[in-house]
Amino acid sequence: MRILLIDDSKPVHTVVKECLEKFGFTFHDAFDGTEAIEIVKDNEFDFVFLDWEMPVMNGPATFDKLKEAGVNCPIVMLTSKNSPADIAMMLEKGVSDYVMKPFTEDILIEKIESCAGVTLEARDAS
Amino acid sequence: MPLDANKLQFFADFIKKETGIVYTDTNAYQLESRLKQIVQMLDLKDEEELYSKCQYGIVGQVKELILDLATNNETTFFRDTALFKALQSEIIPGLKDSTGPLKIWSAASSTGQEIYSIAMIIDQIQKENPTFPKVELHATDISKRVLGQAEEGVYSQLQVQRGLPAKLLVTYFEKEGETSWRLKEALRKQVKFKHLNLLDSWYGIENCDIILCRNVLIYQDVENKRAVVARMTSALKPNGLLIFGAAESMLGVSEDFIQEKIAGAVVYRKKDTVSKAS
Repeated sequence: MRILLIDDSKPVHTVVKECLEKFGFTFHDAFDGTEAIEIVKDNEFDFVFLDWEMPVMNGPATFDKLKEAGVNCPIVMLTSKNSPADIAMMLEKGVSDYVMKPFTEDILIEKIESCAGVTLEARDAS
Repeated sequence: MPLDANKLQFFADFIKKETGIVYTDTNAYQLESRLKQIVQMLDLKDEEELYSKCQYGIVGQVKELILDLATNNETTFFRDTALFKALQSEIIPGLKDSTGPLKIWSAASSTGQEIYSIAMIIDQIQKENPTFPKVELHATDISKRVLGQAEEGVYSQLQVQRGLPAKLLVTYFEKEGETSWRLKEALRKQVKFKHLNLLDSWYGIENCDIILCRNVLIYQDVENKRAVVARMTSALKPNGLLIFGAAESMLGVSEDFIQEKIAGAVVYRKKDTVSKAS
């Protein structure tokens, strides 16, 4: 699976990859919305994690641009913003689901499984 | 044959990594006894055989069992996706023609996620089909502590993200403080909570359409399993369903049920020839 991770925090990129490394995903890193829009011009993805508060272009604006660019894989928010109104607004826009920081490995795995319709198996498993 | 310290540590490390629960020298005996239960459940020769089976990766049923045994009260919303899909798509809608209220019982409710997941499903079904019968929801547990939490219906931000899609979160919960969420009263008040030890001789709950008793009886010996299932048989309507955890089976426990697979989920249907007094 190819995952695009859009977040301005390097530590978040590190933690998400650590949580999911056993599944052998290919990650692309974008540190703000404009960078993500450039990346999706030349790459296809199976899943996107999208932060809300980022410099230059925030999460909601990036979501709209991703849709305009034809991205149709599941896009799941990964953000510290946790008000019911914020969550409802992004669901209304069409995100597949919403993860509030801090998160756990299990939460990331469940969201990928439920939104992408896959069952993840660790690559080091027998 | 019990495991040596290094092999025991292998399982302790796995449980710590997966759940955060720490087994040290002081509670190693608990881990040993839990591994022994798994050996029995999987019908293996001994703990060495379990270790051999696991040393290249702990996956599937063995992983489920180890984590279930290590985390007695851990539960999540909609735990076991296949089962909840079956409950939502076929099992509960299939009860639409029942006369009188339906009754669903979560027999070891822990902190309430199971019965509240059912409550959310029923609310959605009733909104789509206003003539769907009324449903009585019952939840019991041996632990007053977890029952209290269940009745409060307050969950941490991490708890509401386990198994619960954000759409259901914003539909059925209100934010309480910075990082807690509380199930809305309309759903909370639908559930009757009661303290109950399943080993007690009388349950006081009858005429159930569905009993969920998941990942509870795996801790019990076969005599207790038989006694509990016999009492649950009496508490079910004819053709009512008893639902176990994914790794549990009715084999050797009762002959009063027919195993069925509904939309991918295994359930046990009470034979209609079984009298209520059985």
